[in-house]
Amino acid sequence: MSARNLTELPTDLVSNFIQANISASLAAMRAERTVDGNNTLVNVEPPPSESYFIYSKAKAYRAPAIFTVPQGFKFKLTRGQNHVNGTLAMIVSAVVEDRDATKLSRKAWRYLDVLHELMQGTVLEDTNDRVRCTVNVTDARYSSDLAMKDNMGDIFRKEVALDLDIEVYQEL
Amino acid sequence: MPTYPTVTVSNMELTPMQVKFQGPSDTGPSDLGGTLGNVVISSKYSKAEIKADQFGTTVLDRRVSGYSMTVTTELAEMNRKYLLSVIYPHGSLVSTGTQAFDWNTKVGDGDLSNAGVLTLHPLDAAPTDVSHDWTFYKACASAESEFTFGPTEQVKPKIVWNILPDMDFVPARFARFGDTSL
Repeated sequence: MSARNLTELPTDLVSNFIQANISASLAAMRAERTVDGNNTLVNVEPPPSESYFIYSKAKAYRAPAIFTVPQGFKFKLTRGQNHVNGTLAMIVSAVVEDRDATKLSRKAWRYLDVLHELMQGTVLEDTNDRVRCTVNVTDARYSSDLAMKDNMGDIFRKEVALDLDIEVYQEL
Repeated sequence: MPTYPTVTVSNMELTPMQVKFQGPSDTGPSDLGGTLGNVVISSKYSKAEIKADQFGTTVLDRRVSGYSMTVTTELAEMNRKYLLSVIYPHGSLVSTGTQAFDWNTKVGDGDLSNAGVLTLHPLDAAPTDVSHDWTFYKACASAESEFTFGPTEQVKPKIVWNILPDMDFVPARFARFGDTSL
Protein backbone atom coordinates (compact mmCIF):
# COMPACT_ATOMS: atom_id res chain seq x y z
CA MET A 1 0.00 0.00 0.00
CA SER A 2 1.24 3.52 -0.76
CA ALA A 3 -0.11 6.83 0.40
CA ARG A 4 -2.66 8.20 -2.02
CA ASN A 5 -1.37 10.94 -4.34
CA LEU A 6 -4.22 11.74 -6.67
CA THR A 7 -3.60 15.36 -7.55
CA GLU A 8 -0.22 16.63 -6.42
CA LEU A 9 1.87 14.00 -8.18
CA PRO A 10 0.02 14.05 -11.53
CA THR A 11 0.01 17.85 -11.52
CA ASP A 12 3.73 17.98 -10.80
CA LEU A 13 4.38 15.40 -13.51
CA VAL A 14 2.52 17.50 -16.09
CA SER A 15 4.05 20.81 -15.02
CA ASN A 16 7.59 19.44 -14.82
CA PHE A 17 7.25 17.73 -18.19
CA ILE A 18 6.16 20.96 -19.83
CA GLN A 19 8.94 22.91 -18.17
CA ALA A 20 11.56 20.36 -19.24
CA ASN A 21 10.45 20.15 -22.87
CA ILE A 22 8.84 23.43 -23.89
CA SER A 23 12.07 25.20 -24.86
CA ALA A 24 13.00 22.58 -27.43
CA SER A 25 9.47 22.43 -28.81
CA LEU A 26 9.26 26.21 -29.16
CA ALA A 27 12.61 26.27 -30.93
CA ALA A 28 11.55 23.52 -33.33
CA MET A 29 8.29 25.24 -34.08
CA ARG A 30 10.00 28.57 -34.65
CA ALA A 31 12.29 26.96 -37.20
CA GLU A 32 9.42 25.21 -38.93
CA ARG A 33 6.98 28.09 -39.39
CA THR A 34 7.26 29.65 -42.82
CA VAL A 35 7.95 33.32 -43.07
CA ASP A 36 4.67 35.17 -43.25
CA GLY A 37 5.96 38.69 -42.93
CA ASN A 38 5.51 38.64 -39.18
CA ASN A 39 7.17 35.35 -38.32
CA THR A 40 10.51 36.72 -37.25
CA LEU A 41 8.87 39.29 -35.02
CA VAL A 42 6.69 36.85 -33.10
CA ASN A 43 8.84 36.05 -30.14
CA VAL A 44 8.01 32.64 -28.66
CA GLU A 45 10.37 32.64 -25.75
CA PRO A 46 10.14 29.87 -23.13
CA PRO A 47 8.41 30.83 -19.88
CA PRO A 48 10.69 31.79 -17.01
CA SER A 49 10.99 29.17 -14.30
CA GLU A 50 9.04 31.33 -11.84
CA SER A 51 6.06 31.55 -14.19
CA TYR A 52 4.69 28.07 -13.70
CA PHE A 53 1.58 28.02 -11.56
CA ILE A 54 -0.69 25.34 -10.16
CA TYR A 55 -3.42 27.81 -9.23
CA SER A 56 -5.38 30.18 -11.42
CA LYS A 57 -5.33 33.48 -9.55
CA ALA A 58 -1.68 34.40 -9.95
CA LYS A 59 -0.90 38.12 -9.90
CA ALA A 60 2.01 40.24 -11.05
CA TYR A 61 3.82 37.52 -12.94
CA ARG A 62 5.99 37.66 -16.01
CA ALA A 63 4.55 36.30 -19.22
CA PRO A 64 4.71 33.87 -20.84
CA ALA A 65 3.32 31.80 -18.01
CA ILE A 66 2.03 28.25 -17.81
CA PHE A 67 -0.88 27.24 -15.61
CA THR A 68 -1.61 23.60 -14.75
CA VAL A 69 -4.78 23.65 -12.67
CA PRO A 70 -6.70 20.49 -11.69
CA GLN A 71 -10.46 20.76 -12.08
CA GLY A 72 -11.85 17.47 -10.80
CA PHE A 73 -11.30 13.75 -10.47
CA LYS A 74 -13.75 11.06 -11.56
CA PHE A 75 -12.98 7.67 -10.06
CA LYS A 76 -14.89 5.73 -12.75
CA LEU A 77 -15.95 2.93 -10.40
CA THR A 78 -17.91 1.30 -13.23
CA ARG A 79 -14.57 0.06 -14.54
CA GLY A 80 -14.60 -2.47 -11.72
CA GLN A 81 -11.06 -1.74 -10.62
CA ASN A 82 -9.16 -2.79 -7.50
CA HIS A 83 -6.90 0.25 -7.65
CA VAL A 84 -7.24 3.90 -8.50
CA ASN A 85 -8.21 4.01 -12.16
CA GLY A 86 -9.87 7.32 -12.92
CA THR A 87 -9.74 10.54 -14.85
CA LEU A 88 -8.25 13.78 -13.61
CA ALA A 89 -9.62 16.81 -15.44
CA MET A 90 -7.05 19.55 -15.75
CA ILE A 91 -6.65 22.84 -17.55
CA VAL A 92 -3.23 23.63 -18.96
CA SER A 93 -3.02 27.15 -20.24
CA ALA A 94 -0.47 29.64 -21.47
CA VAL A 95 -0.72 33.39 -20.89
CA VAL A 96 1.34 35.34 -23.38
CA GLU A 97 2.06 39.01 -23.79
CA ASP A 98 2.80 41.36 -26.66
CA ARG A 99 2.22 45.00 -27.49
CA ASP A 100 1.04 44.24 -31.02
CA ALA A 101 -2.38 42.62 -31.23
CA THR A 102 -1.61 40.60 -34.35
CA LYS A 103 1.60 39.24 -32.95
CA LEU A 104 -0.15 38.56 -29.66
CA SER A 105 -2.73 36.38 -31.37
CA ARG A 106 -0.14 34.44 -33.36
CA LYS A 107 1.99 34.01 -30.29
CA ALA A 108 -0.94 32.58 -28.34
CA TRP A 109 -1.82 30.16 -31.12
CA ARG A 110 1.76 28.96 -31.32
CA TYR A 111 1.91 28.29 -27.61
CA LEU A 112 -1.30 26.33 -28.00
CA ASP A 113 0.30 24.24 -30.72
CA VAL A 114 3.33 23.50 -28.58
CA LEU A 115 1.28 22.61 -25.53
CA HIS A 116 -0.84 20.23 -27.57
CA GLU A 117 2.28 18.62 -29.01
CA LEU A 118 3.68 18.13 -25.52
CA MET A 119 0.48 16.88 -23.94
CA GLN A 120 -1.51 14.75 -26.36
CA GLY A 121 -0.85 11.07 -25.78
CA THR A 122 1.98 11.68 -23.36
CA VAL A 123 2.54 9.02 -20.71
CA LEU A 124 4.05 10.19 -17.44
CA GLU A 125 5.23 8.03 -14.56
CA ASP A 126 6.82 8.94 -11.29
CA THR A 127 10.26 7.53 -10.50
CA ASN A 128 8.87 5.21 -7.83
CA ASP A 129 6.41 3.63 -10.24
CA ARG A 130 3.46 4.60 -8.06
CA VAL A 131 1.50 6.62 -10.55
CA ARG A 132 1.05 6.32 -14.30
CA CYS A 133 -0.73 9.09 -16.18
CA THR A 134 -1.82 9.15 -19.80
CA VAL A 135 -2.72 12.60 -21.05
CA ASN A 136 -5.49 13.21 -23.59
CA VAL A 137 -6.43 16.65 -24.84
CA THR A 138 -10.17 17.04 -25.25
CA ASP A 139 -10.62 20.73 -26.06
CA ALA A 140 -8.72 23.90 -26.81
CA ARG A 141 -10.03 27.34 -25.86
CA TYR A 142 -9.02 30.90 -26.61
CA SER A 143 -9.52 33.90 -24.36
CA SER A 144 -11.91 36.55 -25.50
CA ASP A 145 -10.61 39.47 -27.52
CA LEU A 146 -12.96 41.80 -25.69
CA ALA A 147 -10.96 43.63 -23.07
CA MET A 148 -11.98 46.59 -20.95
CA LYS A 149 -10.05 49.59 -22.15
CA ASP A 150 -9.25 50.62 -18.62
CA ASN A 151 -7.78 47.18 -17.88
CA MET A 152 -4.38 47.58 -19.40
CA GLY A 153 -3.25 44.14 -18.32
CA ASP A 154 -5.82 42.44 -20.54
CA ILE A 155 -5.07 44.41 -23.69
CA PHE A 156 -1.54 43.14 -23.93
CA ARG A 157 -2.17 39.59 -22.75
CA LYS A 158 -3.95 36.60 -24.17
CA GLU A 159 -4.59 33.15 -22.80
CA VAL A 160 -5.00 29.83 -24.57
CA ALA A 161 -6.08 26.74 -22.69
CA LEU A 162 -6.19 23.02 -23.22
CA ASP A 163 -8.71 20.85 -21.40
CA LEU A 164 -7.06 17.59 -20.45
CA ASP A 165 -8.47 14.25 -19.43
CA ILE A 166 -5.61 12.54 -17.62
CA GLU A 167 -6.07 8.83 -17.01
CA VAL A 168 -4.50 8.17 -13.63
CA TYR A 169 -3.54 4.69 -12.51
CA GLN A 170 -2.37 4.25 -8.94
CA GLU A 171 -2.11 1.49 -6.41
CA LEU A 172 -4.42 1.72 -3.43
CA MET B 1 -7.30 -3.22 8.50
CA PRO B 2 -8.24 -3.76 4.82
CA THR B 3 -6.15 -5.61 2.27
CA TYR B 4 -4.33 -3.71 -0.46
CA PRO B 5 -3.52 -5.58 -3.68
CA THR B 6 -0.11 -5.23 -5.26
CA VAL B 7 -0.69 -3.24 -8.40
CA THR B 8 2.11 -2.25 -10.78
CA VAL B 9 0.74 0.65 -12.75
CA SER B 10 3.59 0.62 -15.28
CA ASN B 11 2.10 -2.65 -16.57
CA MET B 12 -1.12 -0.92 -17.59
CA GLU B 13 -1.62 0.17 -21.16
CA LEU B 14 -3.57 2.92 -22.82
CA THR B 15 -2.24 3.76 -26.25
CA PRO B 16 -2.99 3.82 -29.94
CA MET B 17 -0.87 1.70 -32.23
CA GLN B 18 1.43 2.20 -35.17
CA VAL B 19 0.42 -0.36 -37.79
CA LYS B 20 3.10 -1.67 -40.17
CA PHE B 21 2.75 -4.30 -42.86
CA GLN B 22 5.29 -6.03 -45.10
CA GLY B 23 3.73 -7.95 -47.94
CA PRO B 24 5.44 -10.94 -49.55
CA SER B 25 6.82 -8.80 -52.38
CA ASP B 26 7.68 -5.74 -50.28
CA THR B 27 11.32 -4.98 -49.48
CA GLY B 28 10.51 -3.73 -46.00
CA PRO B 29 7.65 -2.90 -43.64
CA SER B 30 5.38 -0.04 -44.60
CA ASP B 31 3.72 2.18 -42.03
CA LEU B 32 0.01 2.09 -42.89
CA GLY B 33 -0.49 5.57 -41.44
CA GLY B 34 -3.56 6.81 -39.64
CA THR B 35 -6.09 4.41 -38.22
CA LEU B 36 -9.55 4.89 -36.76
CA GLY B 37 -11.86 2.78 -34.67
CA ASN B 38 -9.02 1.43 -32.52
CA VAL B 39 -6.94 -1.66 -33.27
CA VAL B 40 -8.60 -4.82 -32.03
CA ILE B 41 -6.75 -8.11 -31.64
CA SER B 42 -8.99 -11.15 -31.22
CA SER B 43 -7.50 -14.43 -30.20
CA LYS B 44 -9.17 -17.74 -29.42
CA TYR B 45 -8.19 -21.30 -28.79
CA SER B 46 -11.17 -23.47 -29.82
CA LYS B 47 -11.75 -26.33 -27.47
CA ALA B 48 -13.53 -29.65 -27.63
CA GLU B 49 -15.29 -30.83 -24.52
CA ILE B 50 -14.39 -34.17 -22.97
CA LYS B 51 -17.23 -35.98 -21.30
CA ALA B 52 -18.16 -39.43 -20.13
CA ASP B 53 -21.59 -40.96 -19.88
CA GLN B 54 -20.96 -41.79 -16.25
CA PHE B 55 -20.83 -38.08 -15.46
CA GLY B 56 -23.74 -37.06 -17.66
CA THR B 57 -23.30 -33.69 -19.32
CA THR B 58 -20.55 -32.58 -16.97
CA VAL B 59 -17.51 -31.29 -18.81
CA LEU B 60 -14.49 -33.22 -17.54
CA ASP B 61 -11.85 -31.50 -19.61
CA ARG B 62 -11.45 -29.25 -22.62
CA ARG B 63 -8.86 -29.97 -25.28
CA VAL B 64 -7.52 -27.51 -27.82
CA SER B 65 -9.05 -28.25 -31.19
CA GLY B 66 -7.92 -25.22 -33.15
CA TYR B 67 -6.86 -21.63 -32.99
CA SER B 68 -7.93 -18.42 -34.63
CA MET B 69 -6.62 -14.88 -34.50
CA THR B 70 -7.70 -11.67 -36.21
CA VAL B 71 -6.60 -8.05 -36.17
CA THR B 72 -9.13 -5.39 -37.04
CA THR B 73 -8.84 -1.69 -37.61
CA GLU B 74 -9.94 1.07 -39.99
CA LEU B 75 -7.48 2.79 -42.28
CA ALA B 76 -7.76 6.57 -42.48
CA GLU B 77 -5.56 7.40 -45.48
CA MET B 78 -8.10 6.41 -48.08
CA ASN B 79 -6.32 8.03 -51.04
CA ARG B 80 -3.11 6.06 -50.56
CA LYS B 81 -3.57 3.33 -53.09
CA TYR B 82 -0.98 1.03 -51.56
CA LEU B 83 -3.42 0.53 -48.70
CA LEU B 84 -5.96 -0.89 -51.12
CA SER B 85 -3.45 -3.57 -52.06
CA VAL B 86 -3.23 -4.46 -48.38
CA ILE B 87 -7.01 -4.51 -47.88
CA TYR B 88 -7.51 -6.45 -51.13
CA PRO B 89 -4.41 -8.63 -51.61
CA HIS B 90 -6.00 -10.32 -54.62
CA GLY B 91 -6.21 -7.03 -56.53
CA SER B 92 -3.43 -5.30 -58.44
CA LEU B 93 -1.54 -2.11 -57.75
CA VAL B 94 -0.77 -0.33 -61.04
CA SER B 95 2.61 1.46 -61.52
CA THR B 96 4.88 2.86 -58.83
CA GLY B 97 4.63 6.60 -59.41
CA THR B 98 1.11 7.91 -59.75
CA GLN B 99 -0.67 4.73 -58.85
CA ALA B 100 -3.98 3.09 -59.53
CA PHE B 101 -5.58 0.00 -58.09
CA ASP B 102 -7.50 -2.67 -59.95
CA TRP B 103 -9.90 -5.18 -58.54
CA ASN B 104 -9.65 -8.27 -60.75
CA THR B 105 -10.96 -11.76 -60.59
CA LYS B 106 -8.32 -14.01 -59.18
CA VAL B 107 -10.09 -17.26 -58.63
CA GLY B 108 -7.85 -19.69 -56.86
CA ASP B 109 -5.53 -17.07 -55.34
CA GLY B 110 -4.72 -18.00 -51.76
CA ASP B 111 -4.33 -16.15 -48.48
CA LEU B 112 -1.06 -17.84 -47.61
CA SER B 113 0.66 -16.69 -50.78
CA ASN B 114 -0.41 -13.11 -50.04
CA ALA B 115 0.30 -13.16 -46.31
CA GLY B 116 2.83 -10.78 -44.86
CA VAL B 117 4.23 -9.65 -41.53
CA LEU B 118 1.95 -7.34 -39.56
CA THR B 119 3.49 -5.37 -36.69
CA LEU B 120 1.70 -3.29 -34.10
CA HIS B 121 3.89 -0.88 -32.13
CA PRO B 122 2.44 1.08 -29.19
CA LEU B 123 2.79 4.84 -29.65
CA ASP B 124 3.73 5.35 -26.01
CA ALA B 125 6.91 3.32 -26.52
CA ALA B 126 10.08 4.66 -28.09
CA PRO B 127 10.56 3.73 -31.75
CA THR B 128 13.38 1.32 -30.88
CA ASP B 129 11.60 -0.24 -27.91
CA VAL B 130 10.03 -3.41 -29.34
CA SER B 131 9.40 -5.11 -26.02
CA HIS B 132 5.65 -4.52 -26.30
CA ASP B 133 5.25 -4.94 -30.04
CA TRP B 134 2.76 -7.40 -31.48
CA THR B 135 4.10 -9.28 -34.50
CA PHE B 136 1.89 -11.46 -36.64
CA TYR B 137 4.00 -13.61 -38.94
CA LYS B 138 1.46 -14.52 -41.62
CA ALA B 139 -1.29 -11.92 -41.86
CA CYS B 140 -3.63 -11.67 -44.82
CA ALA B 141 -6.59 -9.34 -45.08
CA SER B 142 -10.00 -10.88 -45.46
CA ALA B 143 -10.41 -8.88 -48.70
CA GLU B 144 -13.78 -7.52 -47.66
CA SER B 145 -14.51 -3.89 -46.87
CA GLU B 146 -16.70 -0.96 -47.76
CA PHE B 147 -16.20 2.72 -48.41
CA THR B 148 -18.73 5.29 -47.24
CA PHE B 149 -18.48 8.75 -48.78
CA GLY B 150 -20.45 11.60 -47.30
CA PRO B 151 -20.42 15.15 -45.95
CA THR B 152 -20.17 14.41 -42.24
CA GLU B 153 -17.77 11.56 -41.74
CA GLN B 154 -14.46 10.66 -43.31
CA VAL B 155 -13.92 7.53 -45.36
CA LYS B 156 -12.37 4.78 -43.23
CA PRO B 157 -12.33 1.36 -44.86
CA LYS B 158 -12.25 -1.45 -42.36
CA ILE B 159 -9.61 -4.12 -42.61
CA VAL B 160 -9.65 -7.51 -40.93
CA TRP B 161 -6.46 -9.51 -41.03
CA ASN B 162 -6.74 -13.26 -40.60
CA ILE B 163 -3.61 -14.63 -39.00
CA LEU B 164 -2.25 -17.89 -40.38
CA PRO B 165 0.34 -20.13 -38.74
CA ASP B 166 3.95 -19.70 -39.79
CA MET B 167 5.20 -23.23 -40.37
CA ASP B 168 8.85 -22.11 -40.32
CA PHE B 169 8.60 -22.26 -36.55
CA VAL B 170 8.26 -25.49 -34.63
CA PRO B 171 5.63 -25.55 -33.27
CA ALA B 172 3.98 -23.33 -35.84
CA ARG B 173 3.58 -19.81 -34.53
CA PHE B 174 0.86 -17.26 -35.16
CA ALA B 175 2.12 -14.20 -33.33
CA ARG B 176 4.41 -12.90 -30.67
CA PHE B 177 3.86 -10.19 -28.07
CA GLY B 178 7.35 -8.92 -27.36
CA ASP B 179 10.76 -8.73 -28.96
CA THR B 180 10.94 -11.12 -31.91
CA SER B 181 14.71 -11.41 -31.56
CA LEU B 182 14.39 -13.35 -28.30
